[in-house]
Amino acid sequence: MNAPITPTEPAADGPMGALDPEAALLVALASLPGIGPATVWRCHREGEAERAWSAASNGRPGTNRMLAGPVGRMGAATAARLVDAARSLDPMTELSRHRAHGRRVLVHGRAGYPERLRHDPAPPAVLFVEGRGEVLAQPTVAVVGTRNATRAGRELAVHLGGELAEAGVSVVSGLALGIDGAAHQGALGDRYRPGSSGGADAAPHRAAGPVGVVASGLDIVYPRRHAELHRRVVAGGVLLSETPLGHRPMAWRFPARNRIIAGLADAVVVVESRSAGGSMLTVNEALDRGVAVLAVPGHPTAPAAAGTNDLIFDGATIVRSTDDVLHAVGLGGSSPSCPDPGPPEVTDPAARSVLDALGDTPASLPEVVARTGLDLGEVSRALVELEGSGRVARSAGWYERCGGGGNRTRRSVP
Amino acid sequence: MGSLDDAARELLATALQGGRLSARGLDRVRRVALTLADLAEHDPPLTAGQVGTALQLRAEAPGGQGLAA
Repeated sequence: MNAPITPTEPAADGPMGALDPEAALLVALASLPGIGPATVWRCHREGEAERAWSAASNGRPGTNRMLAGPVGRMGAATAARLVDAARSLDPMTELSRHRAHGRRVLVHGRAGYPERLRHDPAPPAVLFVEGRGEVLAQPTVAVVGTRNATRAGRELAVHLGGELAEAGVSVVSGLALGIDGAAHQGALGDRYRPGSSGGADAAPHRAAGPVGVVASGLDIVYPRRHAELHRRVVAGGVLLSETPLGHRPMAWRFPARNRIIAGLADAVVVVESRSAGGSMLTVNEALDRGVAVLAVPGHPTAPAAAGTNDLIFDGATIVRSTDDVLHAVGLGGSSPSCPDPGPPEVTDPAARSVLDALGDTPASLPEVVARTGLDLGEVSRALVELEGSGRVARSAGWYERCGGGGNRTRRSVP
Repeated sequence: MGSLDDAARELLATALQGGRLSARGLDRVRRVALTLADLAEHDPPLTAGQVGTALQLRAEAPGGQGLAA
């Protein structure tokens, strides 16, 4: 069989044909045993990638400011492997390798890096990407949960993934067994079928698509059962990883990957989880980033609902339906319902002031307070009355005048 | 629990009528309003401003903001 011709089109991350030296160094550093994303990030942020690599490949990683910490903490065996690896790897070759087969290598601060992660508190210095990055421009919802999902939980995840995708949301998940895989199957158009991970490819021309974030290199399929799903996610959406090719999903890489899931999401939905688990780590990362957290309620005695019920108890938004999730990201079909006003002129000065402040532009509560100069109590009271008389409608934290013109462009969560 | 002044009572009635407040929500709104009054070191009865603010705060959270960090 003839080998397919790999087109040598320039990757989106660099000028035509040119290989970015910084990208090369970061890929190489990330490939070293015992060196994780935090160290690679520091090297990039401090502009020390070259010096670090040089020290490592010269057999003196412990003398380098960036590497001394990790090298000091790793065993002698790992340090020796690190030096061996540094001596045998050529950064430029590694970069080329990682850019083959249509994959892209994106560096924080350079063109092409996902906008959503630009100001992340702990962004990957270097990201490996395969597929349609543009799906990240659509609203994103992470749907996550336990690997040991119940049948009902998986069914729900499939259903939720499907409805979110239908509504134009890019569904983010980790491709793990259980809830993650089910969510993506749903997003790809499958109906619930126990034990299957195959199906037709989703229409690739849709603006939204599945977003998979994996803990392994992009060339490694984990779990193996999800090989077909892996392929479909790349075909219909995008796959990302901060792990170099050939590297297996070591246990420590999963929490790291969860922060990327949270970072890419406008909202995180936990479908099923025990009291502790990977999903709870993803929740913490979401909270750190001010990303909305929602949870599906479960039976009080169900172990797989213990974590999610805890979240709801602590104030996460309950998911009763897909609408609850859509509402959280400013979608939801329900534009604020403006009943026919018809009532008499608004004479109360505070209400008048609030109405004028809303003018043509929807506003959040703090914005209304700022625009009117009134105090919170007066504004709040006026809003209750205006909503009551059908002059103002509220949806997802935004207030707007009814019947006024105004821009109703979709907003991200306030 | 805190008693309401006339304006506050009317305001709650407006919210209940509009269907934007359930009976269970009513209880929580009163608690939040009471907290606001305490913070402002304001004596009872609860005012329309406090109740109104409690209503808007309750309506505000699209998710996650209520979750204890």
